[in-house]
Amino acid sequence: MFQVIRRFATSVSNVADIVIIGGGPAGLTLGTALKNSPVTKHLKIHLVEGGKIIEPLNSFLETPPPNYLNRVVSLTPSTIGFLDSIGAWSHFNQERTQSYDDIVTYDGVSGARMNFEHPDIATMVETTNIQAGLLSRLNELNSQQEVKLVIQEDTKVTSIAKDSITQWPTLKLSNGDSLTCRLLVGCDGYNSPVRHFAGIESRGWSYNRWGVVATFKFADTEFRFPTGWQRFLPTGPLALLPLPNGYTSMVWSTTPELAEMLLSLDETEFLSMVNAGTRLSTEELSMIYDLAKSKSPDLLEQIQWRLNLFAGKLKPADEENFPLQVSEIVTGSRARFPLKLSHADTYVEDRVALVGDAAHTTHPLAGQGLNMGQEDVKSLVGALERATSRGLDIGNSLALEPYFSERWPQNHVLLGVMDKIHKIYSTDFAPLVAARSFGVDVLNSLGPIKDFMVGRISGNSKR
Amino acid sequence: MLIVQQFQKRSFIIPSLISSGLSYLSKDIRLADKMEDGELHFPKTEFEKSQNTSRPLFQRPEPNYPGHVPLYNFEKLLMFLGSSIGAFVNPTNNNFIVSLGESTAFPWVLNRLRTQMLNDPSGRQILKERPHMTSKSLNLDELKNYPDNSLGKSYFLWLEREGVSPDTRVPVKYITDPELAFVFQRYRECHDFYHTITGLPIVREGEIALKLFEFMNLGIPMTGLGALFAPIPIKSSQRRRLLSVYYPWAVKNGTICKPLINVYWEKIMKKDIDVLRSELGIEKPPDMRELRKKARSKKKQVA
Amino acid sequence: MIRHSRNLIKLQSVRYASTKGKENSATENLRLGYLSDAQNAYMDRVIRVDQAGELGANFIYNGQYLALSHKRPDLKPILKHMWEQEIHHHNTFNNLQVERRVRPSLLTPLWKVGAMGLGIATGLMGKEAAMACTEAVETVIGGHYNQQLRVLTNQFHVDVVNEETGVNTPTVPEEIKDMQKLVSQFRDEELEHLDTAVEHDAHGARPYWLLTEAIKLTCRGAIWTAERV
Repeated sequence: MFQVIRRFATSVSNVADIVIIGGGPAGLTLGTALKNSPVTKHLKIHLVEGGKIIEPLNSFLETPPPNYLNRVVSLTPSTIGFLDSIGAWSHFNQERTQSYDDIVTYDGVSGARMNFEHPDIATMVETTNIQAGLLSRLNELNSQQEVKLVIQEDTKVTSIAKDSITQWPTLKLSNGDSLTCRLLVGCDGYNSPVRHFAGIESRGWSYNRWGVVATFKFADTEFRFPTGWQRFLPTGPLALLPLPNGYTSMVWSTTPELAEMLLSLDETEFLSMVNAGTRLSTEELSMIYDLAKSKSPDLLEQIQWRLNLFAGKLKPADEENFPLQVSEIVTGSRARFPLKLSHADTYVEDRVALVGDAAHTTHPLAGQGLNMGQEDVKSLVGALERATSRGLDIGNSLALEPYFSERWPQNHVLLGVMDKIHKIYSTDFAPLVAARSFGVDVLNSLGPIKDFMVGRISGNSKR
Repeated sequence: MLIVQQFQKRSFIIPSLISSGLSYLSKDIRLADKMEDGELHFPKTEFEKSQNTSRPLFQRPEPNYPGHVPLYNFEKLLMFLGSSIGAFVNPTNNNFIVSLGESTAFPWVLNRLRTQMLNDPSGRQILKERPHMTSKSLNLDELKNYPDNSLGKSYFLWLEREGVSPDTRVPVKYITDPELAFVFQRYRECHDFYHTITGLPIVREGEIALKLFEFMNLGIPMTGLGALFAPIPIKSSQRRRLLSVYYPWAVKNGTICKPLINVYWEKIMKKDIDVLRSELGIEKPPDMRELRKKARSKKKQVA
Repeated sequence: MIRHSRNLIKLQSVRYASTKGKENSATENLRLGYLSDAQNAYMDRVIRVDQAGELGANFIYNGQYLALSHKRPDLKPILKHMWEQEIHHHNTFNNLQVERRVRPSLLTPLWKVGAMGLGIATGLMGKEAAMACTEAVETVIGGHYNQQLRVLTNQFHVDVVNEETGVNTPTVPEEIKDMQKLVSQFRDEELEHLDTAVEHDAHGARPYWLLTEAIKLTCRGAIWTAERV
């Protein structure tokens, strides 16, 4: 009955202070941080998410799935510190996270390697674990506070427009409601409708590479401390990142043809291919790729032959320079996603802010994408706190601009650096290979500079 | 005043600079450095005692395959200098050619050859099985019964005509990587087959022409050096013949024919040699022995 | 010749130290070994570099006291206290150097000038800079003493053969144990100085990173040189 009356009445617009579009890690972190901060917790916040998230995330924490999911990210100590400061880190399923102290990157052509060692240099966490922990903390905060954050799941945004009188962003949702807000935050991914609404250009290019992900278990041949491995092949880096209990998450950024080939292999062939990718020379690998593309029946035999030859030549002391071989794959964990670089011209407009992938996307080679988004959230929350405590209108550019000016240059530099690293390593032209190997060897022996790099990447540098 | 006069004038700067410079070499400093690094008087665990990690400063690295003689880079350089001069002055001594071949077989050259082999199914088979050619493995006794004009028969006839045997090939000693050493060994062993398929004899002129052919096809530096410098000390009539007939043939055929390193000779012994030639893309050059005989008889006539 | 007599002196001191406070029956049958050449070389190095180091610390505090005492009289007690402890350290090592006839560092005049200059310069830069300088120097010295302590603990065993049974039980001689205690105590005092400096706004110095890293680098270079020259 209530609904019948509503249908015939003009739709009453709901008004909120902040509407966050997107229930991914960025959106949930923003909501949790705003609710956690004593300055902003009184704001009326709505979080709109197009998919169903509440039930799956709650069940993730109650009955964790038996296998590790294939979307895993590497969190820096700075991100974990922030998540801890908003009270969310303790809600994560800690047993499914793996912190590691060592990152080894080695050149696919020359073998020049760089070793980064620092206690807890990064931690691997499944994306769902992050979302579930945040949601759990959000529910806890909601139960403690009067003004609750409203999560509207399974609700798509059908249109966004500026209200004719107030110029505030007004959203029409798929359940018929309409929502007006003082500040609209887009945490809605690369193809952000919020960004389009605000008329913000995003510039960049596609890397013409796909990231192939899968979850494996290492062969149980010897004990190793959890280490992050990355081999820079000319087609793109192959990374093996540690998960608990001897599992590992692989991200292999490679050309579209090779990505298609990798997904078409059966499981044993795929395992051998990954082992080959971490060890064999580029000439042997191109022979293997050709055999795989032409669907040769003796592909497995040939890969095994080259791997055995390699193992025969390897001295025992050098064995620890390569990751262990992978022996099992988690079925169904194979997937791929396209890689592109993009950076929005600005992160803030009148009554609009962009956070996370809506603002920038990058190559996964340094695992910085999500961490940049978390730093964005931290900065935006800081700007909103300052604005609220001074009584400003939080949707005003004056309130939002400090977030843009703090984050945009830093993100731009990081995006640029990762782009250059990708470009330097995308070639096997001998003089360039020699130059970059020499550079890596020199850098590897300069401890203080490496410590500085690690500090910058993990956000721990002394200010 | 008196005290000042008693003060001796001594040079201070130069001797102290010298002593501080030389002191680095002093035994005390080296010993104290070793103590700091924990190399002396450090109680070793049982495991460490079982490891024999102490090595004298100059020790040859371990051999990677039976017959391997690891050389330092300066030794390889000396070998190159000696063998290049020796091969130029006395090409009939096989040792010089062998050493020149191994000292100029840089890893990137052999790597390129190995990549060629890896990209070809028959080449891959050769790399996997690593066949070695001996008179037993080639079944020389049976070869004489093979059909005429087959590869096996032609090989047998060529061996008889030239009076050589496949067992006289020197094994590779100085190349570091075992697989690359095999590739070079394979090249050496197939050399007789290249003679057979081109019909060139083992006289000096024939070897030079074949060297250029091999260089255009395989890219091994020794063959290139041979083709460049070996024609210098030979007779001018031979050189004229080489440059006008055989060098153009070698350049053309070496470039357009298929990479010969991939051919699995042992398995195609029964194949007709002309069919093989057309498959590989090789034309037979004019018979060198005939040309030489004609030239000699012409000279006799004139004289 | 000189080496021989030096070894004799060392042997006597070893033997003397070993029999200190031990029961006669136990020591009569023990034959004590000499410290090896390497161990002697390392002891010489320790005394040389520590003497130079404490001289440097002495002069640094001297310089800082000079520079800061006029502008910041409130800092005089704390600087004086730290300086006096360094004077005590310096004197200890001076005595050890004479006792064991170790060649002191040839570049001692350079260390004097450099340390005084560093003390005065950082003092003139202000309280925070002076404290940051202290922090940097004490950090390096803390690590340096730790390294020495490590070697002194692990690698200074001498053969002690029981003449009756012929069994060899390598032991650290008493005087080395005293040396360990000395180094350990001095290290604790230096780290106390570090904590004091941090308490007194060392992190407030501008430019912090540049100042501390430059001073640490210089200290490490000076230590390396004093060990050898």
